[in-house]
Amino acid sequence: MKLFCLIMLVIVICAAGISSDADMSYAYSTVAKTAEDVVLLTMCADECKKECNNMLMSFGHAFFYAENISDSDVYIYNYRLSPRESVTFSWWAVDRHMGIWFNIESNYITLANRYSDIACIGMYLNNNEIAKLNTFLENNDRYTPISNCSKQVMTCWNTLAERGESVMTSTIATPSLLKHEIMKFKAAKKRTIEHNENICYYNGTDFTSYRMEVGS
Amino acid sequence: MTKKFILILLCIADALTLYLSVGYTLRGACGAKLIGDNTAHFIGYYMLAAPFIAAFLVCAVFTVVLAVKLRKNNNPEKK
Repeated sequence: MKLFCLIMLVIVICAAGISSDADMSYAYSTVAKTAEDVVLLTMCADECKKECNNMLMSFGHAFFYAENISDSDVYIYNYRLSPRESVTFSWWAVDRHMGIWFNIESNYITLANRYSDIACIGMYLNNNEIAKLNTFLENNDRYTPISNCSKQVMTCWNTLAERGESVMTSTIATPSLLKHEIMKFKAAKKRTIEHNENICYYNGTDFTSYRMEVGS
Repeated sequence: MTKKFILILLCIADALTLYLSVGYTLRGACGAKLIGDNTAHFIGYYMLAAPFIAAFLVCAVFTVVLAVKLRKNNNPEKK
């Protein structure tokens, strides 16, 4: 009987150890939705490994996917988001505007089958946090090789993050680093991005719209 | 012998940087475009190609200089 108890005790200790190890592998956690939340903001990253070929690398991409989960319009950097509508946005090196563009990712996914291996993590935002997000976007509507998509997305996420949601960033951020950070969330998952064909950027007064033409 | 070895290394660097410059530039040129009132181009790959183009030019200059020096050393009567 003593031996049996001893064996059971060892099994329980081992199981507890394994369980705590499993929990420890997730460094970050997200905060649950509350009644005031109006937008689900998802941070996405893809290394685009399938685009690396013939020694030519592809550094991937990082972007946000925002979904209006309320019953009224929400404005993200002056972009009107109707109830249940969604938008992707990120920082792009495009000659007409080196900064924030809306819906390029959603069109790339639909028209060019890109970003097929994205890692995503979401946070819920209330109206105060939307205002904080808009202030960040207004002050950071620019792209440079250092302030690239990953760096801006990570900094923006950390600006809005609540307890346990902040990710580790570095001077030179890459989508690969961001994906690694996203995978530290227990709730990290791959998810589908709704198509929104309205590609545009905000030029300070209104939106300039484009459509995508995919090359050969 | 050492100079010849350096010349070979420079030639390899030339070939590699030229390959990467052309590769990334072509990727940029063949990628998607945004059509509106004016056409907008994604310039990320061009920005990626730029340091390789610069490296190719620097390597090419050193290669030519070294090749000329070696040629003169091998034919001293032509100095």
